[in-house]
Amino acid sequence: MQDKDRIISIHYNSIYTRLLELDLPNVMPLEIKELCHNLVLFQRDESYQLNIPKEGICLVINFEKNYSTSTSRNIFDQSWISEKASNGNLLLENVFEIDKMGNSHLDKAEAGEKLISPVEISNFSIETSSCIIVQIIGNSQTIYFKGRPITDIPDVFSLNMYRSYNYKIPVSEYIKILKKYENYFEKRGRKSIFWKSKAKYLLIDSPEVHFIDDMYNWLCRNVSNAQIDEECLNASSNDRLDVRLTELTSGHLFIFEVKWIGKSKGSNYDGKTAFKRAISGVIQLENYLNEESNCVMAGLVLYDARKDKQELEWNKHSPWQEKIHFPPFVIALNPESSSTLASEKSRKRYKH
Amino acid sequence: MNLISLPEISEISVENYSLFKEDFNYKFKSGLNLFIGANGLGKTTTTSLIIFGLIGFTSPLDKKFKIDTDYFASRATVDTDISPPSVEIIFSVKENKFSVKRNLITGDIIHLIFNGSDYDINEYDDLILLHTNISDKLDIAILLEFLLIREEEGNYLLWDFQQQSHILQILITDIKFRAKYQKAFNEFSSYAIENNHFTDTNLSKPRKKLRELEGLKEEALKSKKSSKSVQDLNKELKIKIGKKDKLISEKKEVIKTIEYLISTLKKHEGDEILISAEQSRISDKIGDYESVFFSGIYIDDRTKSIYHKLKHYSICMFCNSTLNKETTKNIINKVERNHKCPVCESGLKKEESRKVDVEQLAIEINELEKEFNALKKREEKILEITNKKRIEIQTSNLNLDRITFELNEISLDILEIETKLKNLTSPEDKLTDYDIEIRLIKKNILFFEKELKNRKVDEEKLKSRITKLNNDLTKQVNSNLAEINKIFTNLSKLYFNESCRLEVASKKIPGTSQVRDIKQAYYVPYFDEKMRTMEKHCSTSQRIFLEYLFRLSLLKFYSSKVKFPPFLVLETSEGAFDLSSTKQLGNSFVSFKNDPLKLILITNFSKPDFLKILAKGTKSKKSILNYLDFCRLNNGQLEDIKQYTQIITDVISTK
Amino acid sequence: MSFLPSNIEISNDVLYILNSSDKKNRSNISKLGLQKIIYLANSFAAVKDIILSTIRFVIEKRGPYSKEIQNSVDQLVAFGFVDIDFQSNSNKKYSLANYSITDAGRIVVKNLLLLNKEKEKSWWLDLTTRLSIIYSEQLELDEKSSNKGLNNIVKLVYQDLSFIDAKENGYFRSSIDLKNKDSLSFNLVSFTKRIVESNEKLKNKNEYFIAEHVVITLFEFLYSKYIDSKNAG
Repeated sequence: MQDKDRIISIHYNSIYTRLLELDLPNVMPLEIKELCHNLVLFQRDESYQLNIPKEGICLVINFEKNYSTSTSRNIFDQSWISEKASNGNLLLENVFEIDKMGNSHLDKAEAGEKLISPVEISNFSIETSSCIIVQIIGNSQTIYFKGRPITDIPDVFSLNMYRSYNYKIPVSEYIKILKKYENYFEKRGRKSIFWKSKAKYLLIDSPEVHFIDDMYNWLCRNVSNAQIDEECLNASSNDRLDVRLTELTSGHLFIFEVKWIGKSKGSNYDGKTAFKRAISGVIQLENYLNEESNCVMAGLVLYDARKDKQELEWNKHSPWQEKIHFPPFVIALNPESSSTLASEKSRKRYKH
Repeated sequence: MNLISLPEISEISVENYSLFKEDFNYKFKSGLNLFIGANGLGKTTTTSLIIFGLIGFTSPLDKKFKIDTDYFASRATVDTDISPPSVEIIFSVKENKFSVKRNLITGDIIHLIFNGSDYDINEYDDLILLHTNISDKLDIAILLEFLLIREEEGNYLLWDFQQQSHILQILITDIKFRAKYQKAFNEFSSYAIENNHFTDTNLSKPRKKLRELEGLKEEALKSKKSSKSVQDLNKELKIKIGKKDKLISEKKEVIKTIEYLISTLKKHEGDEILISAEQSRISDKIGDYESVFFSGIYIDDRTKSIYHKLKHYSICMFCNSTLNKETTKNIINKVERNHKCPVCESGLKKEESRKVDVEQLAIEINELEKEFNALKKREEKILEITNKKRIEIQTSNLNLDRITFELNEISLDILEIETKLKNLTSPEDKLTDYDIEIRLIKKNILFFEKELKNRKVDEEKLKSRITKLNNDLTKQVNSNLAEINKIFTNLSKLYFNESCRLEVASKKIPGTSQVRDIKQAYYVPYFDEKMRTMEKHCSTSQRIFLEYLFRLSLLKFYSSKVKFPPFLVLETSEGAFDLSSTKQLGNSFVSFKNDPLKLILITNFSKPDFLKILAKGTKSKKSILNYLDFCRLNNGQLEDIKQYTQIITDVISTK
Repeated sequence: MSFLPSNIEISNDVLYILNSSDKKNRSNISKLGLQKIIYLANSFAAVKDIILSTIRFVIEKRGPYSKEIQNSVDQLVAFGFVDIDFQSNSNKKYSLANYSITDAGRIVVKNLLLLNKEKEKSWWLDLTTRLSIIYSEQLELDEKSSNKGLNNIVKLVYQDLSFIDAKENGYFRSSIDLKNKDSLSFNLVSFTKRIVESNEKLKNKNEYFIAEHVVITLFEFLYSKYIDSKNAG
């Protein structure tokens, strides 16, 4: 039985399948597989590792094009990256368009573009549905399609971890899953993708999408037996923003509603409003439960980006529906590392 | 009226009978005869001797008679050396004189003299019957044992009405009467019994059985009535027949369908075979083409050039040696002629000589493959169809089985209903199982009832006959009453009772119910204003007295009607009387002194006075038989002999 | 005159494999690799009902082995359709070798591909070969790996259900029946196909697309099993 579960998990949650499901034109599964493989090899190769560009590389893979000519270069050749790095071109431009085989569009560094932030990349990729953008920064690799990160490999050297089945957790142990995610996100939360101004504890505009994407990708890597879907109908305040896990064998549905509290441009959920905002998420879950009969558990995942992380008095809201997990999962967001925070605190304390 | 002729005894002689000391002889006189002797001297035996002498042993005739074949032998020891003990009786019937001598032991008649001549002893019975006009030897015995001779403890005719009636029938009616009466009585009685038995066997039992069967028939009919009526059954029948027809047509349909399916199946199977044949043809062809194709593709230049160098230049490409022609030829032959591998000499496939147009072949092969695949698809389709058809056929067959089964069931149901209907509607079949038997029994009963009716008619006839005869008898008895009474009342008035007379009573004969309503008339004594119909109505002495008087009266009456007087032997029981009665009795006997009737009185020595009176009644000394003269006295009696002798002397001296 | 390979079918298959790696400019196919690629091709053949040649695999020291394959490739070498490159010859009986296709072989393949049936087989073997190469390279990234290149594929083959079943229930040199429709591999392949086909997002893809996806999933399955077994053991 485990073999069959393994197959199911691979089929639904592997990176490769997700790419396949994008319905990219003019490509066969084997080619996608080879592409993924080449990308990993590329990143792990010595020539890259010795020349890691600070701001990363963005590969725009255009499936409709075929850039294979007598003079074209294939970026998956070992020499290509070392050449580029040694030329110093990567500082000027880091966006390269290739075809599915890896053949480069232009060999010349002409009108190079530079994409750094995810936002930029997102915006860039929205335009086309026949391209994917692979952002290679350090050891992480993220593939964007139509503005959303489709796959997210934090560390290409740890891929085996994600491809193991035993390592993953079944969805029924969702508490364990979310605990693990909390731990994972501690480091993650420091990333600039989330913060507009770290010092001011100011999040980027509409950070919820990024939260959800992050959780979604993480779940895909860490849940063994569920199909994971993200729902992001409207990124404004009160619309649906959830991740749904469907246990494959039973059909049981687990819903996580994502809400954030803190400060971002245009919204300020702090103090009392934080609680209200949080509870609105709970109420939304109650609505979902009425609609969905398969739903076995619903939970609120609250990304807490406040500077002053006060305890939220959950007991004030009653009655608490049985199927809604209590208390909600609070994922702490801190722009600084805990050590920095700690030293800051101690500095403050011992200042006086 | 013709009456029977009673024998008149004349003389008795007893010889060689050891009961007596000597032989003795006595001639009977008319009037009173006295036999005197002590008890146990053989007086009672003498009465038996008289009877025996006249008709032989009586017990064999009827067990009520007393003289059995051992009678005389048992009373005395018999010495067979000397001549047998015998008794000779000389008597007469009317004018005819009989002399019969019988062997006391065997009962055989030693000699018979009739009217002076010797007669065949075997004819004695017929002779006596003829002359007495008595119809039966039994009657003679009855007369002798119950009327003419009475021992001391003898029977009472007055209170045994059946016996009396029997004797009256013989004595006071016509000679033929008794026989007629007896016959009619027996006939009627036995017929009546027979009819009873007949009724019982042929009617009572069958009637009982008939009742039983009729009861059972009732029950059976009742249960029939509770079942359905004719109308309902007809309705049911109609429905069932309708169903049956439907089933039959259904069956026809199904059979048609099956036939059709089978034919189409056959067709498809035929197609299958064709396709399969075509497939194998094509695949063979493909195989052939392929082998040519492959041989065309695998053009092996290296081996070719090696071979070429060897063949044409005799140089081995591997080691660069030059070979001589011989060696080269050998190697070449191995390959080309013998088709053997030059390295290991295994067999090789033959080479295709012609040039192969690979592309053309490829096209053709592809075409064939397409064809083959198309055929395969067709085959699959046909297989689907044939499978479906097969399933349909199977289903239809099952259906057919079901319909056939249902048809059978319905046919049975229809048969059942039809039978039921028949039972209810056809008249002669309103029968139950019992009717036949009932009819049979009824028939039998009717038959027997008819027969019984006839029998009853006959029975009535017989009954009327006996009734008539009985009435005649009664009439006779009644009509004789006055005369007998004259004698009787005279005798009784003088010596017994003034009011005593005879009356006629009648009693039903005990026996079967049929003869119960025949009442036989008989005489009963009447005195002191009472009819003494039972023995207990009189005292012992009265009884004896009356019995003597009755017998005397009857015989006297009888003798008044006939020419020849009978005899009467009475053994007196004067012990039963008191003194005065004894005197009376004695006088009553004495009155017969001059009577033609021979009255023989057997007395003992107990009442000497009585003897003296009786002696007066005798005509002479010769009328007295003294047993002391010839009897054997035992030691006890020897002592009294003096006494006895004295009495006798006194008695005789009065003469 | 010409010498024909005694087993055309296997010879064709071998040529397809070598041709595939040739097209990808990858290194030559090793003896071992060749065996394993053909094994996997047979094990997963149920995906597309490819009628492959009847090859008898036997469990040997280094996993399933078929001498028919070895003989075919040797014959092809003799005829000059395949190039052999000896890696080592130290062991008298057992030698390591790599194979690559020659020009003559390439021409044979070109001609073979004229036949539709052969085209399909070629596609299938090409798919298996390329995936085997990919996964071998991934496996080689594992530092502990002592195998070189395509030989790493052995690790995946050891995870094959039919092979495990035969090894556990059979004996040394027992044969593995890959045509058996009741075999575990067959069941797994059917199951995977069902899962893929039921994925709504892949509904309108053609059968080759589906087939490739199924095979990739199966390879990934073996790989995932291998990782877990490595972590556990």
